[in-house]
Amino acid sequence: MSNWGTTPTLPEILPLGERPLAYSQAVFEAMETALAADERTRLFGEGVTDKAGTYGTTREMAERFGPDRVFDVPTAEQIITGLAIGMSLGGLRPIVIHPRNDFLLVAMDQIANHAAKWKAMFGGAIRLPLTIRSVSCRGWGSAAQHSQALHATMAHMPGLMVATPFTPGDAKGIALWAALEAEEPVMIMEHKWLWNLRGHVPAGCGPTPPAGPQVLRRGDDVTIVGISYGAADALIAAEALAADGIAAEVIDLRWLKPLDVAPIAESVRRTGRLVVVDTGHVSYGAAAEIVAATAERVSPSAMKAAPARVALPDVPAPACSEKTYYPGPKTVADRVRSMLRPAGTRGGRVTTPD
Amino acid sequence: MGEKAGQPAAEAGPLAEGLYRTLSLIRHVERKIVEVYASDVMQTPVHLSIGQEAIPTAFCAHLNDDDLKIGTHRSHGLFLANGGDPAALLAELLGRRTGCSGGWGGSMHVIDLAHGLVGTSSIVGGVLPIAVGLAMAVASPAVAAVYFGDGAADQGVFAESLNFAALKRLPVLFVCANNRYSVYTPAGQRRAVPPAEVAKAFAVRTIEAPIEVSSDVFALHELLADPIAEVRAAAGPLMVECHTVRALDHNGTRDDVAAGFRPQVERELFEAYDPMKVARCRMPAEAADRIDAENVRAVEAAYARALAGAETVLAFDAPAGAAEAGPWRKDGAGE
Repeated sequence: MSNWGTTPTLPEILPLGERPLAYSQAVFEAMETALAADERTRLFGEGVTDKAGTYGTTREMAERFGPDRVFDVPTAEQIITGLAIGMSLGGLRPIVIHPRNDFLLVAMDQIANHAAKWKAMFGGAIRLPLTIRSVSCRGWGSAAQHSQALHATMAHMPGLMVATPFTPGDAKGIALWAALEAEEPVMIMEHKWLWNLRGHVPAGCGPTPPAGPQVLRRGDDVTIVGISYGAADALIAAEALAADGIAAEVIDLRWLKPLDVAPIAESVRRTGRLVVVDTGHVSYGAAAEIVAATAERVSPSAMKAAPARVALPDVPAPACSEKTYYPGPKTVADRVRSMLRPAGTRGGRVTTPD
Repeated sequence: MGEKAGQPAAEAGPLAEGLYRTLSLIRHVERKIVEVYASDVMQTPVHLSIGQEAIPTAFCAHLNDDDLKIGTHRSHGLFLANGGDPAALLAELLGRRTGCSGGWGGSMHVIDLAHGLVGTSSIVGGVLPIAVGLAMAVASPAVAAVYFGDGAADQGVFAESLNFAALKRLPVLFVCANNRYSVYTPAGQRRAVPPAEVAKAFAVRTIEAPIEVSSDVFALHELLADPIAEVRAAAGPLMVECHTVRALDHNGTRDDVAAGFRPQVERELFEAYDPMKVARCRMPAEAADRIDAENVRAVEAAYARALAGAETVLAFDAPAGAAEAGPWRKDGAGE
């Protein structure tokens, strides 16, 4: 598979239904619908009004909805984010975009110290509806500062809701819910490698409130939980494993916070094996949280192998050697096969670049 | 009314009495805090504004409930000058459920939505960009106002906020109380130029009020009248740097000058420019005494009401359940 670019063309791994849409098109529709549906919505971020239009997801919105509601901003992540918080406290429903995750770290005071805490800090006296979209953009030598996937960092903060939509349907529904209905700050962590992924988006797709993980593929031998683009690796791996007679259950996590771990625990009780595929770093990451939360709910006697994390090594991304740095479907499939080896062989170690 | 402090003028009538009433209320509430603080009944850091009270008093007198305001950790004065209930403030410091923030915020996080105060932050400069966002949400002729100190202006986001407010000509009132100290670190060790110069660099209309004016509630009130009216009339943002002096410690009720943390000149500045003294010099003594006496009674009553509020006792899930609980959860225990 030729996955090496900034936006790969993925195989058809999702049901297409009667209205297949690319992920980026689904996000575009969400922005368009949110702006049309509620006068209080605002859309802004670096490059929102330029010709590229945030990877196409905001293209021509300023022309259609006016420069007061859709506008570009300085390269100043704190004012961009603080602006959104102030607008929200003043009664608007802002959608702010940080086109790369890495720049969220510049905005972290506003996100973590202010947006996340405002409601709790004032005893629930005030609501802070706020949508923050951000895109993880690995590939094509993006190197260490243009490739991070920071959903676990965000989910560590009480007060933020954190979604990692994987299917185009979720990309649209979750963004619409955040923009039109949520009463809390919602971080939507998109992944640029999903831009071309096609899936069914019903014509009437509306706001989708937070929901538990969804099973994308049924199987009884192993539970593979995918986070964001990790779900693509999991689905492709499951297809390869099926050829070996191994039936993998693939679960798309969807929301890091709120986290509903029950469906994962239920699946693991049946399969006895758990692999979590994440786009973030392995250390202190989302995969660790899923493994821990599942372990708290599943009897050790139900486990047939130690759980495994497939995630990024504890090293900043190199521009030169992405193919060995990033795990892929083969990493996932190999890990599953090692779990299924006869007793006595070791499974479930932390993934390192092969 | 004179423009310069020290000008003899008889301040009388409802406007003058109203300004003095607010000034005196802030002073008496904070004196009450000083009185009880050593007993540890208030288990929250307090950043008192004694010495600086004329600033929030003067600018809040020009603001309405539909103007949106935001402040920092040193916001008792802002809360009270903006019309906040002293009992709700004191209850917050006492950790009571009846506190303005339900006991969750303590002294540094006060809110009063009925009067347009949307909260305060202890990350000081963090409120500056939020104020700019508030200005994008208000409907003309309402404005947004942010009350902050020179320490907040040290943070880079100050420049980002001024730039965007100026770029979009937003109705933001930046009110900086410059007491020249960030905790105990003097301006000379922190700043190349005063905050006002930064605002000027972004072509933000800027007023500098020397301590003679900032300590005189009547003079400062008059000075701000036209500029604030112009912000309402879509003239764009306004920066007001008010030079002032902090009477007590950065945090807590100690005399930090006596303890050697700041130089003696700070004590002398306060003695010379105590806004209560300055105001009393310009008011009929009878009116000032009467208002003070009324405030003493009002504060005692407010403190009694605050003490009577139920303590805030919360119950939390075990840490393992935290992520599942969602973004924020408050248990009803103790209600």
